[in-house]
Amino acid sequence: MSKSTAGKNIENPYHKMIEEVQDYAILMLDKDGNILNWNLGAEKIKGYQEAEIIGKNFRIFYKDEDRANKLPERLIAEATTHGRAMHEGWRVRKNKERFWGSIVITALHNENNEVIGFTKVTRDLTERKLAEEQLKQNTKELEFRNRELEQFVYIASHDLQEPLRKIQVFSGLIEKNLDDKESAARFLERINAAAKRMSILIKDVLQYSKLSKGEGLEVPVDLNTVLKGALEDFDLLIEQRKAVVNFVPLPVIMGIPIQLHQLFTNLLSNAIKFSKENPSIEISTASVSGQEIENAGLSPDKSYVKIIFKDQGIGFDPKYKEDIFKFFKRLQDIEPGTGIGLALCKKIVENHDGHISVISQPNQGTTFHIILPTLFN
Amino acid sequence: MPSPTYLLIDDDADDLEIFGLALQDTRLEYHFVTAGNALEALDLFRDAHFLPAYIFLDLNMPMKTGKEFLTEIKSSEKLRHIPVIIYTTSSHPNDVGETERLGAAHYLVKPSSIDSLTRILVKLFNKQPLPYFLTEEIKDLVM
Repeated sequence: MSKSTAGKNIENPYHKMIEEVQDYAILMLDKDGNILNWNLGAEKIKGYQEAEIIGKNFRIFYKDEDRANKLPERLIAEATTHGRAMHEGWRVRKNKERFWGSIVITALHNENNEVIGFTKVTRDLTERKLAEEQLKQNTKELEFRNRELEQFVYIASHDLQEPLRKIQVFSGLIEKNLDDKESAARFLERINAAAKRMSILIKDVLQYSKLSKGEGLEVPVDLNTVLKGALEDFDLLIEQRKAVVNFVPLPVIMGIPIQLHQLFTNLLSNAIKFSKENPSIEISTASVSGQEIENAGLSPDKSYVKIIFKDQGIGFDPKYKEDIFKFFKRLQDIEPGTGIGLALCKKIVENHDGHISVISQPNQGTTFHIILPTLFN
Repeated sequence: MPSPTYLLIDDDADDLEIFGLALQDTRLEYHFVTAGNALEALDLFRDAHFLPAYIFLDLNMPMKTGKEFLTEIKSSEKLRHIPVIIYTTSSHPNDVGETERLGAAHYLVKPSSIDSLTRILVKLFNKQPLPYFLTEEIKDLVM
């Protein structure tokens, strides 16, 4: 709009301009924060019509917790003292939807330099905010995949080499001892054992890499049912080892049933495997403090429950408490597992936006803490 | 002079046997002593007369890792002079660098044939100059 046409057609072109700006909510507040005027941008961003909002306090745009924390009052106070207050945060539209607002409140003064009110300019940066959060999420996912890749490199350089090398060595020995049938048969046996181990390792690695984050596959899962199923899988072993499993009622969470079943069976089999006689396993729940959520690096926006698997087994040196969740890390040499069980557990818990940790001492049992988001989030 | 003692510390029964066969093929005189893990090996050293000429040490073992054992040996006034040769499947650069810093004499990647292992051992026992990182893929090592 050129100056000359504006001058001709509109009596107060400046006022009109403000009124018709669509990308910014521009309003005036009295010195208590009550709304004095409204523009098209404010209507678009916040959803209220002029008639219903004039005279209301601008606190109405803030979330309950921000109002409880007196954020609007603090911004007004800051603008009064410093002439200006800036803030970014989630605000509430008329239809209760949230938007990410970037606001500037500027104090208006009379001739005696007394504050008589404020102007408030708000921009809706929801899309930018969501894009930033997506980017953060993607980076986190990428870092996770990268760590996984490093583990795969280690597996390729060590665990998968080992059976192959043995096959090479023993077939070389057979070649040298072709006439000695007895030795040849013994070396062939070793070759078969190595090949079998190789095949189990590859299956395990595939199983691990197939464990994906089941976007859309999550359903409400009753952990009592999951536990019952896992106990049924082991009923023979439990009977043989005279194991006692005590448990409390468990919650219902959002999750992928098959993965949670795998999680419970792995934890149970570990507890039984690493107990000397009459394994005793306690499964209980606990609430999760804000500090624990922060320490575990979990999103503070969700509520969580903790599930505790405690055994009286042989335990291990606490210096290995991170290592045991890595691939093929076997601390005890007492059974022929491939050492993938706890790596699977960790991945399953992380797929569910949770956290797993362990407390242990040699001969004093092992306790796993699994923090998972509750159903109501 | 009495024949030298070689100690191999490895939790893998196949590898203990393979190493023994490779030693036989050197046709040298020696005593071969094995330990299934680092704690067993430390028990052997309680005998003050037990002083092997070389220690061959696997890295990935339960209870106590090879690196922990290496650190202990190198902090012992009496044992620090025994050359320790890392004997492992891993050729991960981190492991190679770390063990060299910890004072290992060589890093020998478990070869895929007995003959390669025998050839490398003969060169080592004959005190021929060898690089820190030993694998059968280095041509002049196995010729």
